[in-house]
Amino acid sequence: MRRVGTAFAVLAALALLAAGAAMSSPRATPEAKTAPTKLTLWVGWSARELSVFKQVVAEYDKKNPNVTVDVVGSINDNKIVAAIRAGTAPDVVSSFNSYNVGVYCGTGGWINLAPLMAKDHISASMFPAATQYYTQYNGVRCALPLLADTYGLYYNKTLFKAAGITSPPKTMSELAADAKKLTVRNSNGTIKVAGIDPVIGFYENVPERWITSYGGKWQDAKGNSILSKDPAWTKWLTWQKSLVDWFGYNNLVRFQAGLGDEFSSSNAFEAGKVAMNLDGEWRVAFIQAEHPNLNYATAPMPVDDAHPELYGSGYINGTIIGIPKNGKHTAEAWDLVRYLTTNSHALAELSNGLRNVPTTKASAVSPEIKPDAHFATFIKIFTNPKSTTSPITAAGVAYTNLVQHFATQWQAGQVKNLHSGLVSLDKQLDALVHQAKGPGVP
Amino acid sequence: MSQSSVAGEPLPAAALTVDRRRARRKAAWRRRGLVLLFMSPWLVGFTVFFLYPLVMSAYLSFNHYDLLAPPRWVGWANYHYLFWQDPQVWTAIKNTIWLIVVMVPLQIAFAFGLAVMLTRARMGVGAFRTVFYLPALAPPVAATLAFVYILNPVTGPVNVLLGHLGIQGPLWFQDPHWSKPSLVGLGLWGVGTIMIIFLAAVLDVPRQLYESAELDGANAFQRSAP
Repeated sequence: MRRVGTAFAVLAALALLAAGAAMSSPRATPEAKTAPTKLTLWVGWSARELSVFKQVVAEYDKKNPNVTVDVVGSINDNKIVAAIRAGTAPDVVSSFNSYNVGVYCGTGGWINLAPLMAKDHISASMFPAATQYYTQYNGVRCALPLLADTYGLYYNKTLFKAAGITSPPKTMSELAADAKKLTVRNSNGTIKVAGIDPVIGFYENVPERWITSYGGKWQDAKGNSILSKDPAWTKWLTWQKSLVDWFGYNNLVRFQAGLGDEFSSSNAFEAGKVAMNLDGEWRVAFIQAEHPNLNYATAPMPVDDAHPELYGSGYINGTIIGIPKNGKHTAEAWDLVRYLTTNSHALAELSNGLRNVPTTKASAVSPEIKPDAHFATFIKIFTNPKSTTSPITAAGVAYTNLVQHFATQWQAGQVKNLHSGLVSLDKQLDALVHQAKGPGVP
Repeated sequence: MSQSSVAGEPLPAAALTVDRRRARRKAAWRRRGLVLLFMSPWLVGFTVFFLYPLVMSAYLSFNHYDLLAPPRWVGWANYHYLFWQDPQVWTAIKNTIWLIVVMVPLQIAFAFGLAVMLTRARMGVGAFRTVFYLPALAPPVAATLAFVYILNPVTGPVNVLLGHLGIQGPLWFQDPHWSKPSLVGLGLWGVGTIMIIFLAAVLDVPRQLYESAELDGANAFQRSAP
């Protein structure tokens, strides 16, 4: 009888334990029964690139059965702004334009990620300085970098050999000299092959990608434009105009009119019509796909003769990702953002598929990155501490567009006095930022 | 049949007039309502797609509005920036005025000239009318792309032809001095719709009037001037 009593007592204890165990993990059973949270993620990629991105997200989906992620491609900033305004924004958004971080962070359109990062002990120092900078505005970090675009020099080794040049130029003087040596003209003086096309507006030629070679500063500590005060700008613009004039501005415009579209297999560098070209790391994949036999190499952009220490650095910008305001699944959205931006495996997979630069310091040296000598140049530029990006302001991309507008007038000979032109440009840039912030906002 | 009250008593004349007036007013309102009902698709479209955006644009132009944060009243600040600080506004205004002053009169004159020529033609009027009108049917984007191709300074057939004649063709759309005249060329090419309107007007004038004007000594311009 005592045995029976003991058996009952043991059974009762086991039953209580089982009930207790069931009560102590209340999430396990209900979660297994409820449907997973559906997250929507908007990205700018399309076609082949979108499918690469979807594969990486599918891995996340597999690891996290509590969520399913619906990836929507071909999204641009206009759609993002319209959706936030209408209250129909997705859980997570990504933009190709790091320039617009000022707009998203400054208006609260994207939420501040700092508290979420602090909670998960994620420090922004895991990203290189330039990417840290272009994912915040006025101290509000509303975005994280999701792959970067890094710019360098592409040069045609066959044309270099024919011109007797053995190594890529490292200074701006060498660049100008090599460009002249590599240029071939037709009998009527028009350009057949350009050593380099220095015209601002041609393909990836914009001021922010050239001024990095001179270490040019954009603003003072108060945020005022200092283009007329920093001699780097005058130096670069003078160098650029001098080279444009050597070719003849109209000659270059005529030459460009006969070139193929930048993002086609008729790209001037790929077609051997320009011997050197400033371009982003993605060109490696384009050449591999379109002209695999092109004999070329990559190098950092040449730098100001007076600043050889800048050699190896370059211009960086890239894709950013964040969480729009009024989202319903902030915790799940953050988990996805954290995975995509900090997980070395995910970044390596994306980098291999899209041939963009992975954005954390750890992923940049990940053994999972497919080795490629052409591409390695850009990873080195990316991790160079002197690499920079353009200023993040409330005006977004309009800020650098205004500088580009000035440069295009300058190269066409429409600016009579460079210094007074730059003084006027400083005023216009300050007025633009003031206007973008709105009167009364410091 | 006489008018009567509920109790069967005949209504006084004054009350009868008031009732008739009321009935007429009611009928008039009903007619107005019907008209409004038939007009409502247009009214809704006009209000939603034109009136509301117009009023809101005017209102928002006095606000600081970045599309994400709520609008904030700033008075004339946006206009001050527009006219005194934006470096590109005056260039845009000048270019627009140039196109209005030069292109619009040229288009009208060219369309009218074509219409008059078509009335004078003895043969193939239908074919000519079709040829001149066809460009107006081309979608503007397609037409512009075609012109960009035709006027490409290096590969375009116009400059290639000029090159064969020993002339270096201009940078049609790339040179600020040539771009506006090139746009005028594109505008003249597509005057088919204006030409048809003029043609209808010219053909509407009885031939006898032209003949009598000629007998009265009117010259060709006086006879055909609109």
